[in-house]
Amino acid sequence: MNSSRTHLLILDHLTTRIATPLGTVTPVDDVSFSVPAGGAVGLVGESGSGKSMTAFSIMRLFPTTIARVAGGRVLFDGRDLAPLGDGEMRQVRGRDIAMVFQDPATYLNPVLTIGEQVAEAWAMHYGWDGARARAEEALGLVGLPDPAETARRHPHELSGGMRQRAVIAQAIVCRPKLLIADEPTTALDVTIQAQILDLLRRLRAELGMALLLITHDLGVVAEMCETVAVMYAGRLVEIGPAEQVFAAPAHPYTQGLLSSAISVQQTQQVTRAMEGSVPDLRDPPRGCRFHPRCPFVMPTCTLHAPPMLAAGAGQTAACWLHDPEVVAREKPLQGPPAPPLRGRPA
Amino acid sequence: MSPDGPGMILEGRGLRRYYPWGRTVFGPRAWVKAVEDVSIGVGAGQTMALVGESGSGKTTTGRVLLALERATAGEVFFRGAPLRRGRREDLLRFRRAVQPVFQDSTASLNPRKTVAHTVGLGLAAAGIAPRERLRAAGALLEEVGLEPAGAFLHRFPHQLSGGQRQRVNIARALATAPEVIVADEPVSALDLSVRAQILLLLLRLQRERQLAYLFISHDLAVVRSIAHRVAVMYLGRIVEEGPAEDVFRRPAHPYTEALISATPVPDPRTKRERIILPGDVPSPLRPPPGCPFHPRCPVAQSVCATTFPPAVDVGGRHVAVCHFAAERAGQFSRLTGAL
Repeated sequence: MNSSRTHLLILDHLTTRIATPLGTVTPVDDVSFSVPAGGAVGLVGESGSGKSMTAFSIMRLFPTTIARVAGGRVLFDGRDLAPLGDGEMRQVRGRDIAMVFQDPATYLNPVLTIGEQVAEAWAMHYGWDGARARAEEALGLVGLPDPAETARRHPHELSGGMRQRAVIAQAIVCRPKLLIADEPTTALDVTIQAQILDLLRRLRAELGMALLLITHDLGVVAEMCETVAVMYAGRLVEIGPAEQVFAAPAHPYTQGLLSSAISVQQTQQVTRAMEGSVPDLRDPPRGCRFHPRCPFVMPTCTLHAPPMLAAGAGQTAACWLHDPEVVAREKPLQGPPAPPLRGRPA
Repeated sequence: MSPDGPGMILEGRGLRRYYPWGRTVFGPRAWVKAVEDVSIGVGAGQTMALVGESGSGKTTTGRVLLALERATAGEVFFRGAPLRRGRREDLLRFRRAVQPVFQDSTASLNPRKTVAHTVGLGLAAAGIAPRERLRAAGALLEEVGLEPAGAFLHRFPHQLSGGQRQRVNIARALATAPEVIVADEPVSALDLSVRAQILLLLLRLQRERQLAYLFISHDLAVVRSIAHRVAVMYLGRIVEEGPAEDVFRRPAHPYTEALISATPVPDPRTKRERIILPGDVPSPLRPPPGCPFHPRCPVAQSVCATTFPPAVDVGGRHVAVCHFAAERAGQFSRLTGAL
């Protein structure tokens, strides 16, 4: 990608493993991408794609007794976070990288006031001196009316949208360089979602904060992000500039996903759906993990996992169809020969 | 076609559903007016979509139309005749003809019963002889795309994926050969690719069985892809109702326009002026006076704060409850019109 801009966060072959009673799973498998300083990257995928686990791996928000970053580096501002101890990680969380989650009610303590909880996020790193003032400033910044008054309220006194604003205030009170938002609007109504997306856009501009937005909603990504990364079954399958990826998806999975997406702006019935569903990560398919559902599957796909290959204007995709040698050598296992991967499928 | 359109198969007229709030010895302190004066009809073989945000009353309206809840006032009509709940035979016939599909596919299925049992209960209600039921259940599973049926009949709900469970729920609903399915957010809990599969299935079933749907959803993009007519609810009332295409192209109510504008579009090249409504939906305990939408309305005038707006027919059986609906319909909508 564009190397002239400094990369704030670089995931370099990140791999996370979880030991479960039924065997080890690898929800994040060799994932590499980067977030430029001040940029916005959307990480999309269906349930079980590993998009949330990627975020948790960056923040190391998982029980370290069963889960661990098993390989790769998490370079933040030039420093590798992967080898840091828990104490050092605690200094990074909230101060340099903050995170916002889906359900604001779950992440607020019901017995503390909003002001106490936002102030605490500041005090964790900088002490209680002036924390209250910082908290009120943050509450104002996220558009809560009368910050001093809101600071005295408890979470149950706020509506869902206001609670999400309070959680965002908590996240930005230390002015992090990167905000990771995991489905920040999924639990909200569409008019409230519009308010929160508008707020995130404004905060990015005002604070120069980078955004890693994790969502299943392609519409939200299209409106918020310059770069889109698509995950499937624990692996990154495609990444590129949002306009490119949406206009000319390079990976068959992205193509399928986009053909399932419907827009409120057009009358368009769903005419085609991808068959099957996401594989079980305990026993993922060999080779390319998408091959059992892929309409263009070739013999190589069933044996070898494809590397990220250049696929047009700034995109890369983990698909053998973008390796001219493989395409010249192999025949598709089904249907007509693979059509050129250009344009959005009908 | 009668003036009311094609034959309405399921209809609610003047429906109200109030819930008591705050119990005192003198009775409830207040009433939550979940549904307030809602009239809605589902045409035979058609899809009527009911959209709105949480708390708008769309689910309660669906439950009243399913006869799962008693209306506080108003009546439910089936094939033009009022539903008489007191007569068991009538109610049973109604329940066979009007079947639900809910959002949570897990909660809708008994975890201790196999798929065959669940679908078989519906078949029993439809009067299918016991020895026929297994074969009939298999046929239903194949109809909803669970093939081969033999592989699914004896599974328990936890052995199925979310999409497969929702297919079982649809098969169960079809077991009584219904004419109407009331589907409450049937695809909201599903992943994108599975959602597309279920929408395709619903469209095919409608074609093959001439099913009518009351499709309750908060997702306007899904609604636009499936509905013939749309009713938009806000604070317990229908604020706009009309042919789907018309409502999406020329929303006559400012709330509908804002909802459409707030729905993210999966295309980064789309540059739109967004209408961002301020504030939250008010409490249904104390709905605002005048037009219930006026505190959030971007085009509210002083009359809106005092007078309840009339239902204005803006043409082509497209009605909006807004003082300015006629004017708004006149000027081609600036935001969504440029399609």
